[in-house]
Amino acid sequence: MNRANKILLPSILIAVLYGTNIHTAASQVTISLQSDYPVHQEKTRILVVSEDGTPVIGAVVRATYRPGSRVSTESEIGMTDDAGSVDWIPQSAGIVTLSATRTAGDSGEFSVTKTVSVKFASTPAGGILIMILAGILLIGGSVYRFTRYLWGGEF
Amino acid sequence: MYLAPDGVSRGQWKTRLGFILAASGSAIGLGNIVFFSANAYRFGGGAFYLPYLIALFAMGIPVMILEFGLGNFTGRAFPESLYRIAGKKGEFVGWWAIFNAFFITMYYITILGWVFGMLTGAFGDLWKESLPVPAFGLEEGVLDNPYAYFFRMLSTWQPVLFVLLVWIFNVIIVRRGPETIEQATRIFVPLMWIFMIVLIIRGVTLTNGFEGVMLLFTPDFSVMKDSAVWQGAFSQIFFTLSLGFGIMTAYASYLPKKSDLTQNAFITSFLNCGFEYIAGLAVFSILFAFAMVPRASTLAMMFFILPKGISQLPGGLQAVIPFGTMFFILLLLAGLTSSVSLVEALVSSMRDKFGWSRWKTITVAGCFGFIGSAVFALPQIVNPGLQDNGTLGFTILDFVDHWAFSYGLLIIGLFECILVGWIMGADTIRAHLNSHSRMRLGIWFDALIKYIIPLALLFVLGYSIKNEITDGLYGTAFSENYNEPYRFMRYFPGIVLAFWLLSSTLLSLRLTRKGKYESS
Repeated sequence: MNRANKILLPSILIAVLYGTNIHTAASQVTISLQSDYPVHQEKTRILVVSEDGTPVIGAVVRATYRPGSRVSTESEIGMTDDAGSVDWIPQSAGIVTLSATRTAGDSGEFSVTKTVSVKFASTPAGGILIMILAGILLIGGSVYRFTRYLWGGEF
Repeated sequence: MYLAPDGVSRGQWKTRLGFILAASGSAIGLGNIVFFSANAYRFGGGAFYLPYLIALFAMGIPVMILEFGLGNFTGRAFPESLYRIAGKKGEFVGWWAIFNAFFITMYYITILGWVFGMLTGAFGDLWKESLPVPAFGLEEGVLDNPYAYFFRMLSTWQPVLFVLLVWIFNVIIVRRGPETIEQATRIFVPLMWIFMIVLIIRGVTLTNGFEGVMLLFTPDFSVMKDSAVWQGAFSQIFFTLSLGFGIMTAYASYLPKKSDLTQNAFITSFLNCGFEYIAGLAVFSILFAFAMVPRASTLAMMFFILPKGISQLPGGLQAVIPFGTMFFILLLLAGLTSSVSLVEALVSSMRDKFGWSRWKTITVAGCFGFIGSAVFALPQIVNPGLQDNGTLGFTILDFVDHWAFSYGLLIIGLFECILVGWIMGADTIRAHLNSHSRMRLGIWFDALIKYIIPLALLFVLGYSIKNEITDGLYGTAFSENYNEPYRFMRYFPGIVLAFWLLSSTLLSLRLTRKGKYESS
């Protein structure tokens, strides 16, 4: 479905959202991170544990950078070790969905996801530049035109 | 032929500020608050600003100038304006635009009814972790809020009452045309800006909130070669400026002849896009702080994702309730200033044609409009598994929105440019615009109206139609979700398309043939 110009409605998207907010057996396994806000290019540790705190071994952990966008990319981080952990160096800043899946094993199959925000290692110059330029043009344009109008007579 | 009758007899804006606030209030709607941010995220963050700004200057502002010029030149609403420049064929296009806009008005007011319902929930239930949704067979704890609250509300008749209230608000605001619209927008529009600024301050002061702002603006230029990004930018600009509804033509018909229309179009467009810009700051700071994935859907963003973020604000319910309430009041104000302009576009068109009193026209529009809006609020469950939209009303709304919004407005924009550019003559409207504007339009304006904008609109429409063909008619992909006893819903994608197309066309033909306009 082409959703590029979909202004108002979610339809299938609701199903997607619903799927992520319904409580199922799969939610007994959780993903946690060493740091609440990992930083771009800085190593952090991902931990996959079951509800009772037991480490989940052999789960494949993947990262989807900028999920749901046209620039979304996916990469495999690795498999959890005996401690249920795997090291991760985020490849880009922004919103990232981590998923841990296991197709077979002693504690059964599962698939869980967790969305995290990866911080920029330093303030991005490109982001600052575009924020300023777009701000000058759009907000500055509004202020300039509005000011001219206020001094410019009736209609 | 092109002389306009005295605008004063139809009502007139009292001040230029009133007109600017009303026009920008019309343009700034629900989509501005959340959809721009979702699109920017989807299309490469800061990189999206390049096609967006190109679309604003190459298409958005020129079409806004054209619509203002048309209304002020003829002193009439959209159908009669087009009649005066292109005869009966033009009038037909004008009525088609008005009926297409009326479909949008009806479901837009349903959505505002839902916003009203969420606002009532913002005082308490909405912020509970979960709620039971009995109509879908879901016990408490199965579905998180705000999803549970939303679908629980949708599965009752309560939204019909909210829809009635929103229609009453609309009728009250448009009861004396520009006079009462101006009074309302003088309060509503500044309030919207104040509420949005408060949300920005709250958003960027959250832990890592400013990182979210950087996420919004940091560009990924790899998307620039993706034609979907350009299609997204051009349609975004067209929709966000309320073009193709006949609204701006109706509003400009209430302006004095000596108005500086070009300047007014620039101010309105900049205010609209400036509001989108600052809304992005608030939305992205909240999304990043709470690690939430934006969705390219206004409804999903405003009913689920942002309320979910607000529910996590530090400070507990003492912080969540005021900010949540303010967020839904902001949505309601933004929606009301847009919906009154949609209603006014219809009312002024009907009055121009039939010479009815304002009260009679508003009563007819309000009654039919309410019935239509109530259909979109029908609570019958057609999708018990919630794999899709859930209720009958929501499902119909989804299909109508797809055709009326994504196609209807662009088709109108295309015909509008052809009628003004080629039949009336772009130089004629340009001469009118330049006669009282300090900023003079050059021959480039003619080129945009006659060639570039129609080609851009054809590209956007063609791209959408191509996807429709390759992916299948909108809605058919998820029709398999409808099992007995809701199997009949599988036919709805086609039925809704046929109904929208036939009813708009037949009603437009009927009104075009019925009666004559008074000669000016």
